[in-house]
Amino acid sequence: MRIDAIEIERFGAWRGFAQTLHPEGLSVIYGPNEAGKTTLLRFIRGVLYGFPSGDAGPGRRTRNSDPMSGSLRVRHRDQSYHVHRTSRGDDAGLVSISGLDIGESPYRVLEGVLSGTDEKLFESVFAVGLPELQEFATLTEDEVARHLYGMTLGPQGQLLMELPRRIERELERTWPKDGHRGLVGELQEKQREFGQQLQGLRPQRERYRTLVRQRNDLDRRISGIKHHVVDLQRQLRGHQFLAKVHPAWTRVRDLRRELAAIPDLRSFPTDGLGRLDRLEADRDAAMRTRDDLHGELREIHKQLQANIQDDSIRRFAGSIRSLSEQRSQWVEAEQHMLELERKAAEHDRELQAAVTRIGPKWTLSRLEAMVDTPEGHGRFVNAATQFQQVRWRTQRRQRKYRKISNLCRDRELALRTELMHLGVDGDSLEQPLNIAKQRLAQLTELGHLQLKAGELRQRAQSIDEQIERMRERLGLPDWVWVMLAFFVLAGIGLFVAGLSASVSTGWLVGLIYMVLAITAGGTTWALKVQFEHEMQDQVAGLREQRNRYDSQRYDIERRIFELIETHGLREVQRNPQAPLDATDGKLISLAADRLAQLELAQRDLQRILDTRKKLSIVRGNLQGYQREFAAARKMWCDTLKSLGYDEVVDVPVAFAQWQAVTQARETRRRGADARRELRGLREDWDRYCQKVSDLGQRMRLGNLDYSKPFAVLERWEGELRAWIHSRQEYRRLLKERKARRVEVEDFQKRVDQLQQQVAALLQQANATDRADLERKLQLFQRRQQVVQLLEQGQRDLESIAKSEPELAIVDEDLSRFHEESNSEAIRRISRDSAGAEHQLEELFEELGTVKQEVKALTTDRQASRVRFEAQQTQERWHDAWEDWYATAVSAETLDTVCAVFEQAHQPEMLAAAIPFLESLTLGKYHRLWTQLGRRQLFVDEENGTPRSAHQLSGGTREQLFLAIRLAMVKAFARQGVELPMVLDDVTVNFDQERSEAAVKTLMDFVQDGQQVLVFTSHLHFAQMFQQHGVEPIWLPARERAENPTMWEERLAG
Amino acid sequence: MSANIVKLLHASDVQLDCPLRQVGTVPRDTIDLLASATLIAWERLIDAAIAHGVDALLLTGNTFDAAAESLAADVALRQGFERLLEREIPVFVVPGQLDPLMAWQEFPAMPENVTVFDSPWDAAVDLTDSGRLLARIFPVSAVTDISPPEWHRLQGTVQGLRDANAVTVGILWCDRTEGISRPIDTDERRLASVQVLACGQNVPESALPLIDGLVHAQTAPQAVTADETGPRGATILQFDSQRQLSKRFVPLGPVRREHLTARLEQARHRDELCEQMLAMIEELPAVPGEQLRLVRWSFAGSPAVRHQLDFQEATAHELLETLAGLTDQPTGLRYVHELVPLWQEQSVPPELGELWRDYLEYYDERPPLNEDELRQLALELRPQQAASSGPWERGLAQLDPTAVHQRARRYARKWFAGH
Repeated sequence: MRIDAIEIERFGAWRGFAQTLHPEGLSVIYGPNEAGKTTLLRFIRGVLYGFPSGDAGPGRRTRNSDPMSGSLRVRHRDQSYHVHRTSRGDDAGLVSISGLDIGESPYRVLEGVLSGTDEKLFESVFAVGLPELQEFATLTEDEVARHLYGMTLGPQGQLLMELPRRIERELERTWPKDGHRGLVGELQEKQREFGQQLQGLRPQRERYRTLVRQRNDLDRRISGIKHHVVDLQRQLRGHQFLAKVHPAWTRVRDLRRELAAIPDLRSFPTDGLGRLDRLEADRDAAMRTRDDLHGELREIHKQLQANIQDDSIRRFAGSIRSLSEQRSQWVEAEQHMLELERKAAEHDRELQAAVTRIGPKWTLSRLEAMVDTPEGHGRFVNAATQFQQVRWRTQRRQRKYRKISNLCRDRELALRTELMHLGVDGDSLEQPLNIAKQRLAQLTELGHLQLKAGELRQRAQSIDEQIERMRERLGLPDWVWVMLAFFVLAGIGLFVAGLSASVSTGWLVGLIYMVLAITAGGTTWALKVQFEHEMQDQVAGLREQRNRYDSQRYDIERRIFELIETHGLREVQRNPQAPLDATDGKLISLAADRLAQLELAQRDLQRILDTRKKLSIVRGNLQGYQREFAAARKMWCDTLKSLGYDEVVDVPVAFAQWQAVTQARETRRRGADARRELRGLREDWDRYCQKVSDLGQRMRLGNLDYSKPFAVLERWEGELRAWIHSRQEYRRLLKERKARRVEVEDFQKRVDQLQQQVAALLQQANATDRADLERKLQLFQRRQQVVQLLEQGQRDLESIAKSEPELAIVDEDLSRFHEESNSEAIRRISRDSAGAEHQLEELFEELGTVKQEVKALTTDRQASRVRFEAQQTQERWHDAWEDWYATAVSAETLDTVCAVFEQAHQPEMLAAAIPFLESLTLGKYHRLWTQLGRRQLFVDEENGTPRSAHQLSGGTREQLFLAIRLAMVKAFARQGVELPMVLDDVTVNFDQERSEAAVKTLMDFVQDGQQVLVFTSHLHFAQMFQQHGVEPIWLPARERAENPTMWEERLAG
Repeated sequence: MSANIVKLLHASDVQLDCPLRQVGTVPRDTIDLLASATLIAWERLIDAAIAHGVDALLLTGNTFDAAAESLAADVALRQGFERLLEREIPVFVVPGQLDPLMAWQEFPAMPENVTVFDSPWDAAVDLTDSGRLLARIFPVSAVTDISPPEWHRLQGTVQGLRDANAVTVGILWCDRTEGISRPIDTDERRLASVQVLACGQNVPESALPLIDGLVHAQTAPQAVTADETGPRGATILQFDSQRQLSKRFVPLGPVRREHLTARLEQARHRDELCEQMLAMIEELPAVPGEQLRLVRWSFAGSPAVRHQLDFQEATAHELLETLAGLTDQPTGLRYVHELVPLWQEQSVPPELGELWRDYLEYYDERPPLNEDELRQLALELRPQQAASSGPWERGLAQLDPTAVHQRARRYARKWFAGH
C-alpha cells in the first residue's frame, strides 16, 4: 500500500489540508516545531486504523465535538482507493471508500489494504517517532520482540526464548530473590510449627517408657510379696492342720487297739437271726396255703358239672355278625337316601330358576341341546377375544381420527384469527406474501437511496465549503501584492522618469524607461492572471464535481419520489402525512416483521393442509376398519349361533349368558348325580333284607317278621351273646382248676426248701441252736462297729489331709503336738500375713495409678496425625529444594544449549539489519546479535568487542534500532505486508555525518519501491534530501498570534 | 496347632507409626486413616497371628523407626506383644536399619514371649510345643554359618528323632550398626543350612548367606512409599508333616497404593477416557481390609492424540475429579486420585527433538555437582539470601546431589515435552 495524497478536512490543528506525496517513494516533510508533523502522523494512523479517542483531551472534549474527517488516497496492488474517515471526535470514525461496488464493505477493503495488520504493529514497526524507537532499547516491547524473534527463529527459538523466563519464574516461585518467603519459606514455617508440636509430644514417649518400667517394677514387687504371703499362709495352714488333725489321729489310734482285742468272725452271717425268723415264718405260711388250695379245687369241680349247654347257634354266628356289622352302615344309608331325595328336588328347582334367568326363550330342552364341550368354550372365548380386539382397534382409530380432525379445526381457527389480525382475507397467502416481500425490497431500496442522497448532499456541502475556503484563499499572497505594487510603482516612476528624460535628456532614454515600466506592469498582470487562473480551474473542477453530485442526487430523489408515490409507501407508516424516512430501519423492521408473520402463517397453512391430507388418509383407512369390524361382528354372531347362544353384539352380555348357561348346566348335572346315587342305594338295601330272610330260613326259624331285618338281627344277636357267655365261663373254670393243682404242688416244694435252708443257716453260723446263734452275733456286731469307727476316723484324717494336699501327716509331729504353742504360732503368722496383704494393696493402688496414666497416654493418637502432616510438609519442602536446585542446574545446561543455538541461529532480522547498521554508522558496527530470551541486543565493534545496546551512545543506539526497523519493514514486505513507513524526527540525535548516512540509507531503502515518509523539524536534514534530489514538502510555520484557537488545539498534537 | 504342621507368620518392614510418603494432597477426612495406616496393619498382623494360630511371629527388621521416637509405635508394639503372650505365641525379632539393636535395648523389658536377637552369632532358639521341637530359629547373616543337620548327626549333637524333624528357619540379621557394616564379597559369604531364610524385601543379594533352602523376602504390611503398589501384608510360612513349605499371603494394609496409566489412544473423547480409567479401577482385585486406595495416574499418548483430545493439565485434573466422584465412597472404600505431572509421560515433539538431545548431551558431559558446588550455585543465584546462613543451608544439607543431578536430567522432558 502506498499513500499518494493526504487530504485533511479537519484534524487537530489541520483544516482543509491537502498534500500530494512524491511518487518515488521517499517523501520528506519539513516543518518547524509545532508545525503539525506529529499530527500528520497521527492522522495517517487514524485514517488507516481509526481515530484514537485520546486525541480529544478531556478539557477539549466540547470543542472537539466537531467531526474529525479526512482522507488518504492510497494505491494498493495497482488499484487506487480514496479512504475517507469521519469521526465525531470521541470514536474511531466511519470509513468510506469511494469507488467500491455496492455491498462491498469498506472495512473489509481497508483490512485488505492494510494486509491484516493491526494498529499496534503499525505504530510499533511502521510509524514510529523517537519515543517508540527508544522504547525498543530493551526489547521489552513485546510486539516488536515477538516479530523480531518469531519471524525468524522458529519453534526452537521461541522455546529457548521462553524457557529462561519460565525457569526464572519457577525459581522465583520457590525461593524468591526479593526476600519474600516463597514456597520454601512457607513450608519452612509449617515445618517449624509441626516440629514444635512434635517436640511437645516427644516427652510423652519417655514418660510412657518410665511408666512401663514402673509398672514392671511394681509387678515384680507385687509378685515377691505374693510369694511371701503364700509362704506365710503355707506355715499357717501347717499349724492349723496340726491343730485340726490331732484329735482325729488320737481317736484312730484308740480304735485300733480295741479292734485287736475282738476275734475275727469272718464268715459269720450278720443277719443270721433275722434270716432264721423269716425262714420259719415262711415255712408255716406255705403249709397253710397248700391246705386252702385243696379246698378250692373241690369247689371248682362242682361248678363245671353245672355249666354244660346246647351250642346249635354257633354255626350261624359268622353270618349274624356280618349282617349286624352292616346294620349301622344301613342306618346311615337311610339318612343319606333321604338327603339325596331332598337335594334332587332342590336341584330341580334351581335348574328351573337358572333356565328362567338365562332368557325368556330358554327351556330345559334347549339347555340340554347346548354344545357344552371345552372345544365349544374355546371357540366362544376366541371369537369374543377377536371380536373385542377388532372393536377396540376400530374405536381407537375413530378416536385418533376425531383427535386429528379437532386439531386441524383448532389450527384453522387460529390461522384465520391471525390472518384477520394481519388484515388478510381469503385462503391464499401468496399474494400478501409477495406484496410484503416487494414492500420490504422497496423500503430497503428506499433506505439505500435515502442514505445515498444524504451522502451526496453531504459531499456537495463539503465541496461548497471547500470552494468557499478556496475563495477565501483566491487573493494573492501579500508579498506578491507588495511585489506587484513595487513593480507598478516602479513602472509609473520609470514612465514618469522616461517622459522626463525624453524631454530633458533624449527620447531614447525616455523610451527605455517606459519599456521598463510596461515590463514591470505586464509582469505584475501576468503573475496575477496566472495565479488566479489556477485557482479558478480548481474551483471550476470542484463546481463540476458538485454539479455531478447534485445531478446524481436529483436522480436519486426522483427515484425516491417514484418509489413513495408509485408503490404507496406512505401507507406503511402510522402517520402518512409525515415525511418518509427509511434510513433508521424502523420501517424496514416493520415490513420485515409483517413478512415474517406472513411466512409463519404460510407455514401454519401448509401444516393445516398437510393435516387435512393426513385426515383424508385416516378417513380412508377408517372405512376399511369399519368393514373389518362388520366382518368380525358377523363371525362373532355366527359363533354364538352355532354354539346355541343368543346372538348379541355386546361381548360382556354374551359372556354373562355364557356364565348363566354354564351355571344352569352345572345345576342340572348335580341333580342327575344325586338321583343316580339314590337309585343305587335303594337297590343295595333290598339286597340286604333278602340276606337276612335267607339266613332265617337256613336257621329254620319261620315265625319271624323279615320285613324288619334290624329287629330279627337283634334277637339273633342276643341269643348268640348268651351262648358265648356260658361257653366262656366253662373254659374259665377249667383253667382255674388246672392252675390250682399246679399251685398245690408248688407250695409243697416250697415247704421242703425252707426246711433245708434253716439247717444250712445254723451250720454256717457254726451254731448249734438259736441261743448259740444269738451270742455269736453280739461279738460280731461289736467288731463291725469298731471297724466302722476306725474307718470313719481314717476318713476324717484323709479329709483333713486332702484339705491341705501340700501337707503330710507325720506321726512324729503329732506325737510331739502341744496345743498352746501351736496356737501362739498361728497368731504370729496371721499377723505377718495381714501386714503383707496391706502392703500388697498399696502396691496394687500404685499399679492402678500407673496403668491409668499409661492408658491415658496410649489412647492419644494425635501424634500420628501431626507426624503424618509433618512428613508431608517435609517431603514438599525437600521436594521444593530439590526442584529449585535441579531447575537451577538444568538452567545452566539450558544456557549452554541457548548459547550454542544462538551462535548458529541468530534472528534473521538482526542479520538483515546489519547492512543498514553498517550504512547508518558508516561501517563502524558490522555484527549485531542477541542473547536468546534475554532480550538484549549486542553489537560488536571493529575490534570484536561486544557492547550491549545500553552501552552505546544515544545516537548510535537510535541508529541501531532504526536499522532493525528498516530490516523488519523489509521482512514484512517479503511476507506481503506492504505499508508505508513513517519516521517522525527520529534523527534528531544524529550528527552531521550520520545524518548524511541516514539520508543515503533511506534513499537506498526506497529503491525497491518501499514508501517512506520522513518528518523532520531540522532544516539541514531536509536540505540534505533536497541536495540528493528529493524535494521536501515544506509545511508552513504557523503564528501563534494569528489563530490562538488553532494554536491551542495543536498543542495537543 | 496340628500335630505335624508348623506355621510361622513372617512380617517385615512394619515401620510402626511411620507416615506414608509421597502421598500428595488428600482430603482432610482421610488423614487420620493415612496417619494410622501402619498401626492398623500391625493390629491386623496380631489379629492374623491369633486367628491363624501360628506357632511364632517373625519380624525381620524395620519394625519401627527409632529416629521418629514415636509413642504410638511403642504402645502398639507392646500391646501387640502382650496380646500374643496371652495366646502363648512367641515372637522373634531381628533389628533393622530403622530399628537398630540399641533401640530395642532401650525399651523397658519386653514381654517374655519376645526374643530379640542380639547379634548374628546368637544361639538358635528352639520353638517347642509340649516338649516337642517344632523349629529352630537362627539369626543369620552373610558371614555366619549354620552347619547342615547331617553334620550335627555325625557329630552326635542331634538328640535323636526329636530334633531330626524340626524345621530350621533363618532370620536375616539386617542391622548394619552391629556386626557387618561393609558389603560382603561373594567369596566371603558363608553357608547357612536353613530350610527357609526370612528377610525383608529390600535386602541386597550381598547381605544374604549361601543357603540350601528357600529365601522368603517379605514386603511391608503397609505400603509406605508410592512405589509399593498392590496389596500388602504378611505371609504364613507353613511346613507340613513332610516339611514341605507352602506360603499363604495375609493382606493387612488398610491403604493400598497403585500407579495406573491410561492410554489416550484408546479414547476418542474425554468420557471414553473416564470410562477407561473407571474400568481400570474396577479391574483392580479387591483385597479384604482395604479402606483407602491412593491411585497415581499417568496418561500415555502421542502429542497428536493429546492435541486431538485437547488434553491439558487442567483436563487431567477435571478427569480425576470426575473419577473421584464416581469411585470415592465416604462411608466405604475411599479413593484418592493423584496426577503424575503430564510432562513426565509426554514425548518430545519432533521439531524440538534436536534441542532435547543437545540438552541431554551437554548435561551428560558435565559431572554431577557436589554439595559445595550446589552451595556456590545458590550463592550466585540468590546472593542476598545465601550470604547468611539460614534454612537454605539445612535444605541443601538434606539434599542428595545425585538425586538433584538425576532430577535435572529428567527436567529435559519438562522443558521440551511439557512445552
